[in-house]
Amino acid sequence: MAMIVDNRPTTGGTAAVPRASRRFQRLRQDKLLVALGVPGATALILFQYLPLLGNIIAFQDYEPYLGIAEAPFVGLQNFSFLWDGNPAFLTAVANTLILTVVQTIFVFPVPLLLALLLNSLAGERLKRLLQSILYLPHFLSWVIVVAIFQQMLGNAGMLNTFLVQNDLPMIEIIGVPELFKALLTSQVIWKDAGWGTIIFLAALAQINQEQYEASAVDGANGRQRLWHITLPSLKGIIILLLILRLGDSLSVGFEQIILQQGPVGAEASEVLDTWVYNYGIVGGDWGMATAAGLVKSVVGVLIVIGANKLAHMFGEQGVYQK
Amino acid sequence: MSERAFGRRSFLVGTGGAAVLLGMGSVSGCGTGGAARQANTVASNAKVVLPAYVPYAGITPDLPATAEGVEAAFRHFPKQRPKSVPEKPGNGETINGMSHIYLPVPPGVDRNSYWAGLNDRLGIDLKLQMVPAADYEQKFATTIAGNELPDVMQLRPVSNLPALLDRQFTRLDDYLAGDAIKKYPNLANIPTQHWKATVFNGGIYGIPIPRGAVSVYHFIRQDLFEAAGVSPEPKGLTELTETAKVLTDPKARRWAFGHWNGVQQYLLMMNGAPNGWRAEGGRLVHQFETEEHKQAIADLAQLWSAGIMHPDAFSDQFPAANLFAAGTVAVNFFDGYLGWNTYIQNGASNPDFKLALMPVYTRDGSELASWFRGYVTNVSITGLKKQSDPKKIELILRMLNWLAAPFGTEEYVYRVFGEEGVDHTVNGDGDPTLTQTGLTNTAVPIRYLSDAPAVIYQPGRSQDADVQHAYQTKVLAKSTLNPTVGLFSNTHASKNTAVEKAFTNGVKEIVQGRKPISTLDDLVKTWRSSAGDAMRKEYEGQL
Repeated sequence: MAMIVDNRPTTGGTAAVPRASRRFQRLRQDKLLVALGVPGATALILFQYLPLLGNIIAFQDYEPYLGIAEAPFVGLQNFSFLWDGNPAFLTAVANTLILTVVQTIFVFPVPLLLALLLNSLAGERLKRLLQSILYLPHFLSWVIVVAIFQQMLGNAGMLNTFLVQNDLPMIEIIGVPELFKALLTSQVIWKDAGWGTIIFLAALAQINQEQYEASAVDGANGRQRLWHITLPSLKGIIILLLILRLGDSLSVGFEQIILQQGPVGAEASEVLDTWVYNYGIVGGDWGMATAAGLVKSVVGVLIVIGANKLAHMFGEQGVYQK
Repeated sequence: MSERAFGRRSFLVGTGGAAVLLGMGSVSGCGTGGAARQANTVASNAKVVLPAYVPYAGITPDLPATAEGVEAAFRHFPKQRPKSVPEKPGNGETINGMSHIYLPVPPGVDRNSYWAGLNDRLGIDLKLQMVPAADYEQKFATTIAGNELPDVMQLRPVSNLPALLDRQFTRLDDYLAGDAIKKYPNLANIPTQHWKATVFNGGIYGIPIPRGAVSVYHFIRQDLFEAAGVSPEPKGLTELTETAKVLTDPKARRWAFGHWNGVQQYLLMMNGAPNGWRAEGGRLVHQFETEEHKQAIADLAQLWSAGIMHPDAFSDQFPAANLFAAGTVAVNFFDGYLGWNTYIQNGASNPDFKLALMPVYTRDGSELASWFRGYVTNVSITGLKKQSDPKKIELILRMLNWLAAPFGTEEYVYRVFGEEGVDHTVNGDGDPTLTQTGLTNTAVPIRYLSDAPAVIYQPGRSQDADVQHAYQTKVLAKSTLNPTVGLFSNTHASKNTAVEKAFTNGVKEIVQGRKPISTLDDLVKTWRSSAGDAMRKEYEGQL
């Protein structure tokens, strides 16, 4: 990261002189690192921080052909969905929160379990093969994943065709509103659980093997070693990932859901992101769409900071050190 | 010729209300735009002098076009191929364009002999941005937001379109109004009614891409009907249901009907619902508000529960064309009429494949139902960016004139079929057929910048001209026109998509039996309060 260096001449106060020169000295010492950091920092400022200014649209009656400069300011009018009891918005919030909870409970632990399982496998070649197979779905786009599920489990898919041809009753899975959240969750697990193991496997590799050897000598069995060595060693990374996950918690998969909304209807499937798309983007209401995005980001940041504070209270490191 | 997807898209967007793709007319209070512009009112728009209509007389069709809107038909490609544009439109200038594309994007001009040849014939370096049709709306909005307008582009009905046109696009009255258009004879070949959709703010703001009044066909696989021993022309709902039951066999993965909306539109015609809106004693009534609509939804729910529709008929990714080609569904209702060409191509490898068209009878089967006429009269209109030099506008219009060369002319042969021996071959009857290279190369979507009125013609299948001409004559004999076609409603442009989607979602739940038919009344109430009544008011003010 680039540092802001205070190059102003010091005006009195002898203590400041050595401090400033110390900084300068450090800068000179680390000039290679600073030079390495500059492109990244520039990109970050250009493509992450400057576009944030565009959020001003949230307070305007924005029309693309007028541009930001000419669009009139309308105060908080674009945020009115927050308090006017819009039923479509409330449905979207409810579905988003349910999906967040369900996915945090069911999706988050799967990569961890999978990583522990992989780690306990003895054969190195089998392990590599399994890893490759598990990583693969991550590289498929949602369109493909949805199509695969449709082909396998759809009402005219492989499973149901087999059942019908053998005079068995059909099992309706896709297009059933009650099963929609379960379907989404299993798709997420199928697609990304394997990919999620990478970071846990790296953390597992970091654990000092001598600890296992020592505990084995002391007579600890497999379960005890898992409980007293493996999990405590992974605690930091689990908490870190959980906090970062919470920051994204209001994004529950736009593409995946918009592709499958048709058969189940909005009541079961509308989430914040699709609501913004259906009412903001499609309807050309850019101000409202931006306002909703802004609210989502602010809530996300608050959750991350809150969760991080909580982690610190329990003596954990969290996302950053205190 | 793949506008099939357009039909799909328009019904994904919704039903009747989508009928008005682009229109003229008044919207009071839509102007956040410049102060100088003329208001987009009935009065100012009524004063516009539309371009003169001078039909092209160089070619005589085998079957003539009719006043009811039946298209001219050709059994074979005309032997004589007259030139319609004597001089090259350009002199090496560059023109940037943007239009949507339904086919895979063709190779760039450096690897595409067809495109290079086109540029050579135009005398113009045409740089074209090709945007997948499904993404065009977003691309259009961001292009305007980024102020990166190409010289010539397909327009979309966005909110405050009149103000946008006033700010960014060229008013074309000086070039096209009245007899001025005679400088561009191929554009003068576009009938007057299509030009009405280009009028805003008391001026002409674009070139229409005209399409036929029939707008959609109800396609059927006649071979499957014959194999099942049922008539391809069931009269009334009872006969239709019985026919569909015979055609359906889930064990063999065969169903009568495909995507749910096609069936819905067929039933709406059958029940005599309004084509979008209906004028009743000076007042407009929308399709959704009628008993006929309610009956159609109830009928649709019955067809669904009878198991004669494909089980995934409500999926947003329903591959209708593939399933139809594979014979998984026997009927493909309410699909863009130019899809005929695509389906013939798709079925070419199957010797049994036989394409036919089904007319619509009234619910009791006593007579032909009234056709939804001109559901989409224009594919879109093409706008020209404001230019400091009027010569550039004339250049672009000369190019669009070339690209609108009528069927049978030398320019038409090249723009549609490319170079003989490379992009197409010609059979003994003089019918050109695209080669594999031609199919790839000629996909350059110039036909969405400018096009001549469509005609019925299927290369190498002379009988298709008679089949389609007879069908169009039959169904257009009795038809209803949406009274709001050609009018602009700002509520429609800005809100309708979202509101109608919510309505359609509710209808889908009723049809699938998850909600009772009585909930339709609530859906209509919500539709009226969120957009319907506002649209009615805006349209009524222009009638």
